[in-house]
Amino acid sequence: MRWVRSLVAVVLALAITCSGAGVARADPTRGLVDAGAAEAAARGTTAGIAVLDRATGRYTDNGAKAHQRFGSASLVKLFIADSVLRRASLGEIGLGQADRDALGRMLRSSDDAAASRLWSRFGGSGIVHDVIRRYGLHETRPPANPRYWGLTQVTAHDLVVFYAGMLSGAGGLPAHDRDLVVDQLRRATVHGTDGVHQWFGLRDGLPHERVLGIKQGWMCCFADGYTWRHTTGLVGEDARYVVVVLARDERSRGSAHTTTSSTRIVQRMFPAGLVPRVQGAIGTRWYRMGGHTSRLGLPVGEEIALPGGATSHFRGGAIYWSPGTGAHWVTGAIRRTWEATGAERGRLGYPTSDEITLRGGAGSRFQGGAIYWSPGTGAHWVTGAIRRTWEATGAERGRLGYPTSDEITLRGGAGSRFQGGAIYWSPDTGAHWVTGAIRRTWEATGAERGRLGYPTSDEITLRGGAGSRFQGGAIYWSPDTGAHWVTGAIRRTWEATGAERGRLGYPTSDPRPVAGGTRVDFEHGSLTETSSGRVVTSGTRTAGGTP
Amino acid sequence: MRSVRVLVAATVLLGAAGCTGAGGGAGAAPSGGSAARPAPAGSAEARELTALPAGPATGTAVVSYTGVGEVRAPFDGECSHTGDTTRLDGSADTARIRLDVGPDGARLVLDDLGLSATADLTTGRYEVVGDHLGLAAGLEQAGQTIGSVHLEVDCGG
Repeated sequence: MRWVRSLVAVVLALAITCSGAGVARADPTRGLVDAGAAEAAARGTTAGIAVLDRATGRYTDNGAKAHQRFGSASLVKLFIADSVLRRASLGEIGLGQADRDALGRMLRSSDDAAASRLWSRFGGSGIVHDVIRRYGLHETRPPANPRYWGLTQVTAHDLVVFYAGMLSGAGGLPAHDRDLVVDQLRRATVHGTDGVHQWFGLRDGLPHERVLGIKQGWMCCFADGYTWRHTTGLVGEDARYVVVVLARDERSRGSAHTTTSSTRIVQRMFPAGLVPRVQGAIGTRWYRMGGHTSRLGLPVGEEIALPGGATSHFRGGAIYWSPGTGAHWVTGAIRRTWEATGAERGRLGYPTSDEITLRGGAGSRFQGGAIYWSPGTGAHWVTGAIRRTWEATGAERGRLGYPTSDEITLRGGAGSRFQGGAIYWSPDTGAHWVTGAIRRTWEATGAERGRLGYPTSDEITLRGGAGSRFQGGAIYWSPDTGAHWVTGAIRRTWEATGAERGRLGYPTSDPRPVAGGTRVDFEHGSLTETSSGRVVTSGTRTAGGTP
Repeated sequence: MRSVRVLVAATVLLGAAGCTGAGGGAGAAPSGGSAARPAPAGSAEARELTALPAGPATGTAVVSYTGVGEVRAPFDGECSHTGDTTRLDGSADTARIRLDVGPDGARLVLDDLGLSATADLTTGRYEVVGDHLGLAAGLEQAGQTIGSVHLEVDCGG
């Protein structure tokens, strides 16, 4: 058992030591701790700062000062509680209800009388030795005079090690006793039994944390010349974060100064009033965006594991991450549209870009497509061949502009509408865009369900006009003639004459029934398909001539 | 009278053994932030102590410092007067304790291994019955409470 604890302590210590050195890796907490240290320096306060994210194992401190010894003041009451409860659980000492009540008061209200009573009854400095040994606190020292428990020497680093070990059980404290300690810390009273406001630091600095357990320490006015104000605790329902800030000032500055320093250090570290639940690549992305000042704002919960990735949600959006795509944020209408497709589990998959500001709107790319938004169109997704065809036209800056619909499933294919036209796709035809008068003419025939079927070409620029081919025919347009469709034998005959560049010119009518067949008028004549299938030319004239 | 003193001393020492209530000790510390702080000790307290006889002093001393711990031990020293000021000077275990109570205020100086402190006393309980002093008061420095003192001492041998 003993070697197990030793091993755990060593592993924990190594993890903390090594992670502390890993500055080269992305460390969102680094900036926070640095901000806290800067605040302390600006106020002339000596502060040891250490933060542990128990979910990620990431430990961050402010360097040498986190390893500088401070008089513990009432923080040693954590050690008293731990040692006494553990020894009682092992049957080494007996704890009556009055003792347990005193222990609760000692933790909850920092009751000194209770601490002195437990300290003197259950071993004095031996308590500190016991905790040092079980938790591997290499920087902690018992008080020089064993009657003054508050002169125990602690460091920010060692207190994090202690908290982490207590929560994990590595120090040997049974789980039910650990829960008792944590519960008491979470019920910390506004004032200690000595009347001091003990919600400085973490409690005042993290007003948006719903679950917060604190153990504070304060002492003053001895020959050492210092005022001491320490704030430590466990943040979150799962006590995910351990935060320790030890603070000291010359006594001449007044205790209010040090108390304020303690709170301001916390506020500078966590300006949002809570510890951001972001980590890893998502955390790095969020902090680079500006953290809580970014458009995403504050996180609204813990990171959520997803199939193949993870997400963190914020007040103003979300960041999604997967190994293949990295971390990217989505927000607003684009996010809503994406979520409507099933988000990362839908056809679009994870985002592969942040939102990109475009002329007149914005867009986000995803594994399986893209979503584009503009104020006039809203946000719509495009994907696959339709997307490629649209991008080939210049995307939102091209003639089609922003999408005005998501992709619409059609019989035998799909289509997307855009500000300046539409793109239709089928497996046999691929994706092609239609626009303007040609599009309207095509839609008048029943669009892809009409006799012309799906487009088999994009709009083709012709001399004097334009044309689009379809499965069942073609539509030709010129400014003078408008857009008209041709099909079947008439189309073939017309194209044999050179189509719009031939002697007949552009069509001036759609096919229409006439006596004995179907007729299409052109600029310079007509073609009539008889009921026998023969095409008859009439009224042909040459350019500049008379028919 | 002797039996009363023994009872008081026993009570203090029982406190040292961990048998006091939640208040534990002098009881001069405020129980909440909104509680009015006691005024500094002064002429009334000094006047009360002038009745103490000079000479050897024995009893118990409990000096507690907020967030630090306490001296809780038999006291052995000397009672003396200089003008209107009464002085108790002696030791409790390893701690050297000197208390001066005069019209301008009361001050306690404690010098111990690892800890030295000077503090002003607040008003509280300053009772002289014959040669016995019963004192319970808060300790303050620069306007903030830093602890409390509780003495049960017989003066004059």
